[in-house]
Amino acid sequence: MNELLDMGGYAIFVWSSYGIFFFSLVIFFLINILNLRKYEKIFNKTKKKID
Amino acid sequence: MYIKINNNHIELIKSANPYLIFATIFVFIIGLYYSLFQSPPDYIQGDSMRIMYIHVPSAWFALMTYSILAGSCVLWFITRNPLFNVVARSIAQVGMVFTLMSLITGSIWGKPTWGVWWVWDARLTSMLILFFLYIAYIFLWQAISNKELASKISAALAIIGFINIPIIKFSVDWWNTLHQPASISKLSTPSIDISMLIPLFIMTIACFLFLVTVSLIRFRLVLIENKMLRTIN
Repeated sequence: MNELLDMGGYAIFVWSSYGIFFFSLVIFFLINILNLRKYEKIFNKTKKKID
Repeated sequence: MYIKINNNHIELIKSANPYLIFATIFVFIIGLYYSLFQSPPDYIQGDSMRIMYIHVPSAWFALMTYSILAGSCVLWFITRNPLFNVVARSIAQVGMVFTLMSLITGSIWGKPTWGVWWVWDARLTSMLILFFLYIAYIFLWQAISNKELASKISAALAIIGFINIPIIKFSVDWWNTLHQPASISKLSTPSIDISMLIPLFIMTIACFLFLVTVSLIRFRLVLIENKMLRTIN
């Protein structure tokens, strides 16, 4: 386990790369899915008002 | 040729969404297992080489997405079908994220390999230009209130910027760069071992699934934005 965490002395580089990569993808995904839900709500409300 | 999106298409995209999210997570988990546990360390670079499994797919999809973006803009100019404009706007942000990831992971990989975080060599500089092209495309569309004009200007920029794609691809052959040449090309057998090729392949599929999943979410988002703009106007 320690060997895996140590990454042959490159732990800081490997784990930070993977961390930044997956954190960014998750945040980007969440921003878009939440924005979609928000816009869908606003659009449906506006549509109901117009109808 | 005038392709139109109707409610059935939207419902189909909506219903595919949970499956795509599940598939993306599943393939990423397998990819991580192979990248971090199964793949052997490189005999020169050691374990720092594992950064390749996220850096290379990011760079590939940064280029592929820009090619689709520029292609959609060309088709929009020819046909004036708004669908191509929606496609271009849907994938631009995903491409920007992949370009940024490619730059960041490349920079982190560069420190233990080259001894520096950044060098102004042809490959790195042209990738940075690609990142700025994505930003320019996204912000131009948002900054111009006349959306017809915004579409024209941003599409023109995307098409002109496409000249950067072959420069990125062949920069390592045309100039003396610190960046290594391509290890995998269509015309030759890969110069990396199969034990490293498998995790790279799995992570590439995972990144592709992510690209498709988020692009389809953004596609729905851009369509709603367009509908709202039409309602306001």
